[in-house]
Amino acid sequence: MRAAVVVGGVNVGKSLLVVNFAAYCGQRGLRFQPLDRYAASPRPWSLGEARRQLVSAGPHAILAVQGVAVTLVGKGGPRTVRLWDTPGLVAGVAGDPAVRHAMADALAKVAQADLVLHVVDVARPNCWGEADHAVAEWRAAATPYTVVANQMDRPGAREGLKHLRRQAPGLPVVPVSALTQQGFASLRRAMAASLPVD
Amino acid sequence: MASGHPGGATPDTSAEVLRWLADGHVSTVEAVRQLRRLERRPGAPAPAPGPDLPTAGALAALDALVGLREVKRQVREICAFVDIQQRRAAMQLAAEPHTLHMVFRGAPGTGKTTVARLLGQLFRDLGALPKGHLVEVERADLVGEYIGHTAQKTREVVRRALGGVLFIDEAYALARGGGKDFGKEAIDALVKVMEDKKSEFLLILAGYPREMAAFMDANPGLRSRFAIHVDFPEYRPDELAAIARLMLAERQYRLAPDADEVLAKALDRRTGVWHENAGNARMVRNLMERAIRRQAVRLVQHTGPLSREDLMTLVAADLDEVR
Repeated sequence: MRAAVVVGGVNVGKSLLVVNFAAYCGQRGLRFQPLDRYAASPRPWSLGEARRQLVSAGPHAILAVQGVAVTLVGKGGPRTVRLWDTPGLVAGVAGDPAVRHAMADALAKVAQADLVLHVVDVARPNCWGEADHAVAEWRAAATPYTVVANQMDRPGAREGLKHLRRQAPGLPVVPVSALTQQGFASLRRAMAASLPVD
Repeated sequence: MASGHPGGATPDTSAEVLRWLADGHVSTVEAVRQLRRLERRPGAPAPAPGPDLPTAGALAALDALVGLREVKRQVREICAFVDIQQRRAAMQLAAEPHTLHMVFRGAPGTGKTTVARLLGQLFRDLGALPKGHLVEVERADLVGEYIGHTAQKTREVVRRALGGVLFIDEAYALARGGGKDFGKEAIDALVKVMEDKKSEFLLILAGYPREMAAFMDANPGLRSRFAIHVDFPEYRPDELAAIARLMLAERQYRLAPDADEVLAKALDRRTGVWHENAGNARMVRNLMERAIRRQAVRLVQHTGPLSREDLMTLVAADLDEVR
């Protein structure tokens, strides 16, 4: 199955994007596949349960790379893709070895991605950080790459979006709110355009 | 250009970059830059082999092994040689018959069997061996109890290994018994099948470096048939720690910071348990398996709800045996 890897800084809304976008695509029970191919798939979560388990206001609610399959309806037919949620990237050397391992897992997954969804919190000042820049420079030329400008429902997001476009010229940007699901139709179109029909 | 690592060295493979990142030698940003550098390097020795290469899977597995830098280089060299000989043969050019029997020298737990298994897969993917499976035997599987029994047992073992890899662990033990021992008979039988079934299987003799050197010296008939010697160094403490973390991550466990510290210190100290087994990855794996069982005992006694985090985390107390 094709892999769309969701990457970005800490607490930019990656997990909520994955859960709510899967719901938007009509997914009911979310069966998250762990990175380790030998591990058994856990039982599916309901949407509410998935949000409770995965989404938090603190940093690094999840350290595991895990993916959920979704079907995108688009031009020409459906495309099935696994959305991989990854732990938020910290630019420096993390003190906690578990976090460092999570960083390595995340980058390994990004290297294998068929499509990268790079999530940025545009409601935050200086939303395009050093790690964002490095990752985009690494993968954007090699693989289909979409920057997802998240938190568009928050104050200051419009200015942040302008800042983002200036900082990351040439990259396709899709503004969304993972919370209100605004912009999800454009995101689905952008994803479908770079994935083959099943 | 390439900074970040204490030794000032630069990583050779993306697997190595990720390990440095996990070990805290480089920052996330530096790791990403190194990954980019490796991909853009012209003529890179296949850091990320394309999916169209038949050997991509096994080579990636090889790269993912901790340490073993020189071993990986040698394996790649051998594979390149086999690949080109096959292609020469396909174009009707003179090709060296691949008598690539090998000697693996190293202490227990230094990765010999793992690499032998991967070599089998690589040779299969290259089309040099039809099956590529690994048959692992030791003295007792080859040496019989009466005259004629040994040759029969050895032939039987070789028959099972045809199309794949025959891995004889602690091969020097074949010469252990002295003049009257049937071990000599096993060696003679091996030399014979190596001639008769030259390209039908890959023979790997493995054992401690010093014993293997003495063994080969005492058996010139064997020595002349083994051109390839691969040395497996003992793992460094930081490599053993990386192996432990990798193994835990594969099983969806992780070390809490205090447990990580206990392990790192224990591996560095090299006394107690480590005095005997320094550099032995199998020992580390066994200890982690025990820690996983101890965690289970600790959690079962715990009252109240257990989070996903609790279920994944090994704390210092779980590693008591390591101290």
